[in-house]
Amino acid sequence: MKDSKSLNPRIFTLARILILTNLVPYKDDGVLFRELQTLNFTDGVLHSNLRKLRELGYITEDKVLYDEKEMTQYKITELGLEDWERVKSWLCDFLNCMGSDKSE
Amino acid sequence: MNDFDKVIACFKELEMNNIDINQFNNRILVQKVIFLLQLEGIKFDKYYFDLYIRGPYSPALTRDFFNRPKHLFELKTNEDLTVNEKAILRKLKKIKDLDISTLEIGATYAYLVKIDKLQHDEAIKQIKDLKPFYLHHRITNNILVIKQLLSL
Repeated sequence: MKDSKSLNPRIFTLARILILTNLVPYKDDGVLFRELQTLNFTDGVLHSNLRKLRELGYITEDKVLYDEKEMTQYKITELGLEDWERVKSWLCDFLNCMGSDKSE
Repeated sequence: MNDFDKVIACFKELEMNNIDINQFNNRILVQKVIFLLQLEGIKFDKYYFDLYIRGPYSPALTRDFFNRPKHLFELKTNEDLTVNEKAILRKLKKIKDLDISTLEIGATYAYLVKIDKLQHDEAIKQIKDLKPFYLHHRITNNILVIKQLLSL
């Protein structure tokens, strides 16, 4: 399909897609690790996918104070946003294609 | 009135000073307070709140306070609120005494009950799913505090 070659296939895991989807609205604020735990992955799966997204340059990790407790926070980077938008747009096109195939 | 000037005017009226937006807690505080004020009848045309992983949240509000952090910190605005808006803020004066988790849980509960029209028990169940790191008694106590403050 058109533009497929410009996509980074390493985004295409359920965990990475869900993590990025949840980080996008909070691009200036960041999301706490404990909030990402509500995505219902094991901590091991969550940690390894967060590490991979950090290695790809898609997210950053920081410490913040919440209610006087130090917590780990993740933020999506500009690169992460750009690639996520590309993937999202491709997925939308792809799903529309599938829809029109079905109706034929 | 510009929406963000109204935000500043509201915090000024509530006497909530020194809001440093570089602190994570304060960014949550601004989001939740403005959401609750909107729910109680103070209109902000630009700030649409949707339910995200941390509860009700407006990306447009975040963009605005990052653009004018100094104005918020110094409560710098010449704008004045209407008599009706001031009356709402007088009623909600105690909002400034609430801690951050009460605001977070309370705003999420208010969203679920007032906007998603959930029953009390369903809303509590959903809060437990969204925020499993809070104990049951903390959730119910915080909701009680918010219910006493707002017309829920």
